[in-house]
Amino acid sequence: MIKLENVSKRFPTGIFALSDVSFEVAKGEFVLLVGPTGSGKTTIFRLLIREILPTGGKIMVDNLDIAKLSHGKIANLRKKIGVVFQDLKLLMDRTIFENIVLPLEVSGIKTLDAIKRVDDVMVKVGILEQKDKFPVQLSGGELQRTAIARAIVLNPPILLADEPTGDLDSVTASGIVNLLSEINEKGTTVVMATHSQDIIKSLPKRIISLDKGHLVTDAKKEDKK
Amino acid sequence: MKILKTTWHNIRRSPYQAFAAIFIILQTFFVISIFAYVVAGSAKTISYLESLPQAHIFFRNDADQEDIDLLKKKLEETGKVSEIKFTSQEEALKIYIERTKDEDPLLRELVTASTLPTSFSITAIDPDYLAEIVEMVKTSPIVYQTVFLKDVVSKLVDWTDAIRRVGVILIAFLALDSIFIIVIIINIKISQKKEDINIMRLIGAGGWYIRWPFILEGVSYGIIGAVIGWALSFGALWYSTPLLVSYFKEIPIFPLSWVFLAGLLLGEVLLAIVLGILSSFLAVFRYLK
Repeated sequence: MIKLENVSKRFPTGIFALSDVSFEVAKGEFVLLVGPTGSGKTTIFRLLIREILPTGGKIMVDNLDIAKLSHGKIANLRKKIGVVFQDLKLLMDRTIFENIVLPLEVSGIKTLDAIKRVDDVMVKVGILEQKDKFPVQLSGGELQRTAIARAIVLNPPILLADEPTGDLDSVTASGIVNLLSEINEKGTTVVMATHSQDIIKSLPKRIISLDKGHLVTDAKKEDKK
Repeated sequence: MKILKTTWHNIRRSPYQAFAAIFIILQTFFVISIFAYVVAGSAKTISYLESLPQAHIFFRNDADQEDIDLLKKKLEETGKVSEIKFTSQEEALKIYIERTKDEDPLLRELVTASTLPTSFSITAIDPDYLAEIVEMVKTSPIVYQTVFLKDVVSKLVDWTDAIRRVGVILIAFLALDSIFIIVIIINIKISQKKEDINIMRLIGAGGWYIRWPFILEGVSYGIIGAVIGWALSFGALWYSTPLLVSYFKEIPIFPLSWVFLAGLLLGEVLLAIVLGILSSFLAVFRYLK
């Protein structure tokens, strides 16, 4: 589903965010991308949605070399990958419903169908009651759920979650992780970036560990169970 | 529908910018409308004057009827005159009374038939013959004055052309103003929404999904400005029509026809759409690459 071959990313400042990173994620897999701040987790996500291009190497998503995509195809790629951004990237002047419905509007889904799908996904992530509120009126956990709802409303085959438990208390964080696990169980490939040791320890999932842009370990080879 | 909704949101959330854009556009279309009225009025005046006898020959009060008839015959013999209408002093008085019926009756009483000249109203077969005809009668001792309508018409045509030229230049400047204002306002809107636009792109929005609301916003400003500009000019025209009718008297310029006014509105709305599209495209392709 996702394949990185010797991927490097050097920013114009000269700093290498990624150096020669290679790994694969199979369809339906749940992978934890771990490492301290600045290790390159977010850079991998930005590369996967082609927000930035790699300096070297090759990135394949669903058998497509994403570096070779035309501008029109980039939008299609992004519809296949739901992203829970680290800073959530919610539109603050729109209601929770309007935020979640956005990917459906962008994809040209008919209004009635879109409303039903948003309602379903809001029930799924447990924020239906917040439907008409604005982001500033919600708690951190509710905002994370809103971001997850927006990321999965199009039923993308891939979900990238960048530090989705970042500033949350342990109970709320655990709820978010359970939600992502449920989404994964229904067939979505999930890649979750985190530096939370509690989550890393508690989740029996494959762990790809990064440090200063280098791949340190890939626990796929080890049996975590 | 979603794009229209987003457009409406964009306009509603920054009313002062919307007001500035609409205000400058309504000025442009108000001026366009006023010039259209002036040009239409001038065209009507010219065509009215052209339909009138093209030259008037006024005779001295001591001119004999015999000499007048002789001159008429002489003119007819040239073969260049299609119609000669004789106006007697009594008929001239009737015309005078009719034209001054709204004025002070005391002044009217001072004028009698004997103070007014008899005259010929001449229509030439070809307007080009007029100069020759007038030249011919000018030398006659019974002729007191000649009024050559072609001079009036050509002067009016010159004036109308000048007004039209000034109008086109003024309108071009105002249209450029409108374009710049819309470009600046759409640019401000794009800058304000930079973060939102980035988010929409990251979740898969195509270029046109992002661009359309801005383009429609420019078009909306254009249409609203044009309709208000037209409405204000129409109000001004409506209000001043009684005054204009009494001022122009027998020249049937006012009221302007509804077909003309509706055509003007339609033309202005179409022009506004073109201006709106042009300016918002400029902004969008300059700042939303």
